[in-house]
Amino acid sequence: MKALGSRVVAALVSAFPSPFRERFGAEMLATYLDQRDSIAAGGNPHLDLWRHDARTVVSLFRALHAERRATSIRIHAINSRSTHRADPMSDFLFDLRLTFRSLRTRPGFAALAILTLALGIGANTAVFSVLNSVILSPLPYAEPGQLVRLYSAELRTLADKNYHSAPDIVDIRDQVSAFASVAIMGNYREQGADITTSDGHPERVRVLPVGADYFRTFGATPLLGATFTRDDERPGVRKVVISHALWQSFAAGNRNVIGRTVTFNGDSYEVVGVMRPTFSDLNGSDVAAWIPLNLAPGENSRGNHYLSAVARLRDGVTMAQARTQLEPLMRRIDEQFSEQGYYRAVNVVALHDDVVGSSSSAVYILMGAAGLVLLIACLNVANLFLARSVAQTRETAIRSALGAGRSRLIGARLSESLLIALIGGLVGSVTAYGGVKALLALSPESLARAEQLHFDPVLLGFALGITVLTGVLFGAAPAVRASRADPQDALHDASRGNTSGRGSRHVRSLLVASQVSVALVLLVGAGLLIQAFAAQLRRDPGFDPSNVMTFEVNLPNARYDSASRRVLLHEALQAKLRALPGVTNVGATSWLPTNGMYHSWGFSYLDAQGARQRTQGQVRVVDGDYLATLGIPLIAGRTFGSGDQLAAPGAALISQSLSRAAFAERDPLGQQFRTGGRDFTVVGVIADVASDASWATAPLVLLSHDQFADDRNWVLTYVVKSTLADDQVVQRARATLAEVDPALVLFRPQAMEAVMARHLARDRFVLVLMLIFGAVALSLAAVGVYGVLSYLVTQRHHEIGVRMALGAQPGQVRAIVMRQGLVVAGVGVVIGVAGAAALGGVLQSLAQGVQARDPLVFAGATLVLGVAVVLAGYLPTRRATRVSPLEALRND
Amino acid sequence: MPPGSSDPGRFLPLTPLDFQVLTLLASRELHGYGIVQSAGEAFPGQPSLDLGSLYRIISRMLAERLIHEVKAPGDAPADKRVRRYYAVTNLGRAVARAEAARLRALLASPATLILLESPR
Repeated sequence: MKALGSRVVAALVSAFPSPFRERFGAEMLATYLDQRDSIAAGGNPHLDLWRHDARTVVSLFRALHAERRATSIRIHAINSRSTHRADPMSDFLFDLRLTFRSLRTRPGFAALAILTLALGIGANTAVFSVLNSVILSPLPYAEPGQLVRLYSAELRTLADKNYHSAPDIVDIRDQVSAFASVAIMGNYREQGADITTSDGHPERVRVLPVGADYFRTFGATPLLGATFTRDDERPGVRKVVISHALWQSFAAGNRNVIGRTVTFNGDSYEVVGVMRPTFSDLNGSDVAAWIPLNLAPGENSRGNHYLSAVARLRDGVTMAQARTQLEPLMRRIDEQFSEQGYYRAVNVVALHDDVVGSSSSAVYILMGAAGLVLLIACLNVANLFLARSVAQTRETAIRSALGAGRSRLIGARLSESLLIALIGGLVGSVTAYGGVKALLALSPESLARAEQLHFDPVLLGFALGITVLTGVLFGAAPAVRASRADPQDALHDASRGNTSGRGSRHVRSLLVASQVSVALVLLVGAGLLIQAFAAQLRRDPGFDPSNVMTFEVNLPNARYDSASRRVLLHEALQAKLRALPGVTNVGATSWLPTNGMYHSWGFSYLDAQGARQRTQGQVRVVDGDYLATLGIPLIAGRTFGSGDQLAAPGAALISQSLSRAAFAERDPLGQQFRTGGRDFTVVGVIADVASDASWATAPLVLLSHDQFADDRNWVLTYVVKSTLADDQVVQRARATLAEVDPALVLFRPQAMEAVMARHLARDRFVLVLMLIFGAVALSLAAVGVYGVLSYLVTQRHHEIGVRMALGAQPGQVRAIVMRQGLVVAGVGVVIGVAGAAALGGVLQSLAQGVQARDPLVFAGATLVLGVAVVLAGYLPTRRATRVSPLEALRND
Repeated sequence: MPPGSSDPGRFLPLTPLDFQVLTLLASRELHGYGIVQSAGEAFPGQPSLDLGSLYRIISRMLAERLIHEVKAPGDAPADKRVRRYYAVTNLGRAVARAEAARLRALLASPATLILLESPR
């Protein structure tokens, strides 16, 4: 007991600052022990000793704290000299404590600096994290640099990104030695199959038909069993390789799954392999199973372009060498099949560029914006520190006069910058973490590879480093200068409050002007994107998506093995749907508008001179009142009727642009053309409709499902126009489908407007971020203007007082201050407009529909910025006129 | 030393603890525990001196030359504990007297007397 008390007291005594401890430490202990001895001799020693120990400990704590403060201030403020090298760490800690204290007295400065840093660091880390995971990091396959995407292209336009026909791509695979292997896959991005689960109910999963070398090309091996062989690339092979996820859910991870059968669309498939969990399909990690493609010779037409391909270059072979090898092969094929008028060229693109291509421009825009925000943040921090260091000129001078050395003075400033940078970094990393979360939430599918998005601490370090550097540079630089100055001058100047900050005032004005200009650039950038987005929203897609519900219906091959059965089912379903109360129109299509390229088929026709020409057409199979449901205008001729049956001569509708391209001035009605190996007659011309996510139109061929149902088992997407609420339509349609065939699945119900909105999601996402960046830039610039003007008012306190004593009106004084602010902002705006004009060009090249020189956007952004600047300048201006002449003069 | 530092009035008013220490040391030389002990006897009911405060006061008064260290007297206990003895300087004595006089004048003022004698 006694030992414990003494030990605590001894520890506390030893914690006193060294001069005090050395002088009084032993004595204090002696006194303590003397006291104890006398208490121990008393009547109630135990209790009294406890009480005494407790009181002593408390008193020592209090004294310790007080003595430390007093000692440190004595030692550092008065005795510290540049020669003082005793303990740099304790100097630093001292400065840090002093900094904490001084920041507490001016929380506004600290809050502004920290907020600025947090915004700059947070926004940058979040956006650069996205960039890093989505764009910069390699694809998750072995030797990803060797992977290239092969597109079929027209000789005239090498940029064309078309699909391959099976014979073409097989020839490429077998004859081009530049490729170690070629992965061939079906292009149908949304292809699905109904799988019958162990409990017997149908469920829809994503199934991808692939060639034999598919997995080998990606360097993937199965976890169990094997993948496909070339022998499997023929009709009627019912084998399947399943994903790790499907293995877990369907077979509960049972290793005996190999050889068992899975039922897809009513057909039995033998499980031959299970992929590893690390294999993520290029087409999406949700691909649950792979089945063999039918690539047998004679089974496929060279006019049917429906396959995608990824090739792996042989070691040491470049893309250019591959192109050189491809050219003679394609020419040879072209010559051999020239009577069919096909074009032959192959477009080779690095797979990584191909995957991230469409996202990269969005991310580059955001990266640029985040960089500008960081720049503004740095300028703001520099400005704040500069202002503070000027405000502290007097303090610095006093410390210098008292003998503090330069290194100590600069160190003090550095510790302040560092502390603020550290706190800013902490808040910034929280912001960044939240930012990445928000990016994920905002863009689950609009950014390629978004599933690999994660918060990147390395990048946080980068952004933090830049801002800290700024803080240190601008925190310490004025201190270096101030420490060189003659303290007497500094004190004199500071007390008069006029000349000491002239140099730094110019620097600060320059900084604010830069901030204003960068903010303007950001605002204009955001404005241009808003303009482009609004223009996109205003664009007419060529059809009316309102009150249209869509859903897919897939008929299993086993039970719907003939065209007539499929036609009958769809007829029956449509009739029942049409009879539902509230439903006005019902139709179906093989691929919805705006969903991009699907069946891109050769379209061969005779020109006015009777020569065979060919072009490309997007083929859609439609059923029911498709045109009426989506409000697509019929420009000439007729739509499909009950006469367009299987046995009747082929009838087709073509879009206006295709009609113009193929038949020019001739009457398109009655013209013949060939596609998918069959002959058709144009019976009608329809208006162009938006074909892809950017509302671009493509030459379109519509064929009747009734007539074309024998080509394959088409998965039809229904379009139902009604006066009902979305969920009501779905509910009734599902019930109706069950009446027709209870085993069918109503898949992926979505309103047509939602289908389209999904395509705009990425643009909207970029826009929201740009708006946030613009708002941040605007507020930081306003803070900058406010800071400079209030500083100006403080600096010219005396002058303003004299002016007012001499009879200046408040309005005149306000004008003086405001003019300063407006000059600074004006310079910034001029530079900003020039910068924004340059940036507009970049934006135009990156984002669709941007009008780089839109005067409305420039004027609007300048106006918004101007209002912010005037508002920010108003407060300090008002304060200027409140200066009492008497007080200002007395302060002198 | 700057001019005026020997003016006792400069130190007034003293805190109660400073006054206790100075007054005790004005009557005789004491070591740390001696001061605590004497204070308890001489000023019952007053704020008591604790270890931390005591040595901060001693440290300050040494620096302000109100007290100084003296040789231990012959009757000091002879063990290994470090005990230093302190006494007032002339300045210290003058300051203590000045504070005492100030307090006396304060107490003798009619206002104080009325306060003390009036019923609560």
